[in-house]
Amino acid sequence: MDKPSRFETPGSLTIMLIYVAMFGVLWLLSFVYLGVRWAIG
Amino acid sequence: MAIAEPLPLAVSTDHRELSRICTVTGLRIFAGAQALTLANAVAAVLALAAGGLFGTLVGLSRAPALAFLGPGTFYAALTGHGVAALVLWPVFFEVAAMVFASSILLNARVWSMKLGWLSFALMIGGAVVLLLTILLGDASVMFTAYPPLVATQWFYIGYLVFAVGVLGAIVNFALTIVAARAEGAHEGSLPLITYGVGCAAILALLSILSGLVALIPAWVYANGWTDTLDPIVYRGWFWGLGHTLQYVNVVAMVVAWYGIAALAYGAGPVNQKFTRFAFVLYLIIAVPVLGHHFLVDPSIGTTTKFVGGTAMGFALGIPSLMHGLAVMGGVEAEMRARGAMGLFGWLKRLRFGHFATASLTCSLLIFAIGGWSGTVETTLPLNLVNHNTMGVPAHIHSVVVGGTTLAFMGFAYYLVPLLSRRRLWGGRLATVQAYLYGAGLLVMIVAQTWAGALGVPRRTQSIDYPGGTPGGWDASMNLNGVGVALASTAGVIFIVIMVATLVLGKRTEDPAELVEPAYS
Repeated sequence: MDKPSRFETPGSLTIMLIYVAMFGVLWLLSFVYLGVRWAIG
Repeated sequence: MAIAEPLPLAVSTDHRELSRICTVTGLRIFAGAQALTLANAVAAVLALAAGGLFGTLVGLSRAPALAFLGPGTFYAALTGHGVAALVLWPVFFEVAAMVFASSILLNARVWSMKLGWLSFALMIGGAVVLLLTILLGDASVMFTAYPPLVATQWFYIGYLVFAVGVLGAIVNFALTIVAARAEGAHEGSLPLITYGVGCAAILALLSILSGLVALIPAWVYANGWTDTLDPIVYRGWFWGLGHTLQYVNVVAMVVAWYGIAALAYGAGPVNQKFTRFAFVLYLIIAVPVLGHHFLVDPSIGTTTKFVGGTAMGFALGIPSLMHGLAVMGGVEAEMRARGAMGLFGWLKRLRFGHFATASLTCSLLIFAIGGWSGTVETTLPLNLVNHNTMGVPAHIHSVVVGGTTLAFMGFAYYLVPLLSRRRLWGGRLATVQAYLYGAGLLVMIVAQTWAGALGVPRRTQSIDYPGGTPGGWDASMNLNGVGVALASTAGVIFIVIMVATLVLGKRTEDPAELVEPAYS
């Protein structure tokens, strides 16, 4: 009988999800920076 | 994982070339393939030394506290840095990887050693001509050589001869795989590393063809045989070479990640189809994404810029995310199979005092930073602000140096001892080197991002404008100089370790001495 499959890489997926979340936040902050530069420029 | 498994020794008997069985991998290594791989790897290290020296001069001179290069030497050094570090070093290493992946990993001989050495000679000849024209001050046009800047015709000839050499290496790579199958040396699916290098070779072929279309008219123009050369047309074809070539580097970097994971941790990807699909995605997306080089050009429509630059820039992040997950996941699965528990217990099993963990971790981390900054670069409204500032080299150094070069260094610490059958000289020093290189690059990237946000221009000898510089410009560029000094020191250590391994390394066939595990 086949062994039930299990998710083997929860730690890596967690790290990647944290990275993608930081990526998104920093990308949005780049627009905030852009807006500030326009505002004071 | 294919590389870690001994392959069947079904080798053609039609050829009497000397061969041996690797005591670590069980792979049959033909003498010609070994010599050609090592020759390209040594040429790569020499090119890195040249590129690093030029880069050190440029980086230190851009620190306002030092600023020792005049305009003539600065632009020559900047050209040399781009040519040697962005083209010669990675391409020589990738050709070494092509020979390794098509012959050694497939238990096969190289299809034609004559073609292999001819290609190598052309690449060396082209590289020498390129560097000589730069050193003589006849080609201070930076590696892009945008018209109306014109270099001596020998600069373009050097590029073209180098490209023809690489073309020969690609043909040899493809025919070696065909011959390996025809002669029964290898059956079934290609190993993942050979598959990945194959994708890199396809991208290299596309980039070379695009480069020929850009550089041949530029050579004609440099000779005065035509009066006009459209800069926009040149730039389009040049970046078909320039940016696609950077994705050859990225694909080769990913291959190096898998190579390090296999040799250091005995790990392979959990799902082969997932990783192979990610390689194919690079082939589909890497060429159209060159649109981001035209985001500020007035002659191209916004829709084209948005699709070719911004949308494709985002899409190109997907295969890199997939590979990042696959490499980490492979290591995690292997450590779990060896008893690691908990969400991050597998990380505790890794030896962070080992050069493999040091180089792989730093490469993944810095490449991830470059992934973010690359997306900022390709986002149309952000690019309008960031264009031609120090934010651009911040991205380039993240992906090409932090990601690619560190991964190549980590892989070279395995490849060179395996092929030369000499123990890595200064194993602990290699760990220090990887961390120091990573730290230096992080300082550089932070400083360059800071400078870019303040609007400091890139590719310029001096920012000492009349009336002084805006606040923060000098401080950010001086900090960049500190990062350059750290990274340059680590670059010198890498070259010392490689040369010392080849010359002084203890001769051994003992697998435990050639490949030390990087986990406990």
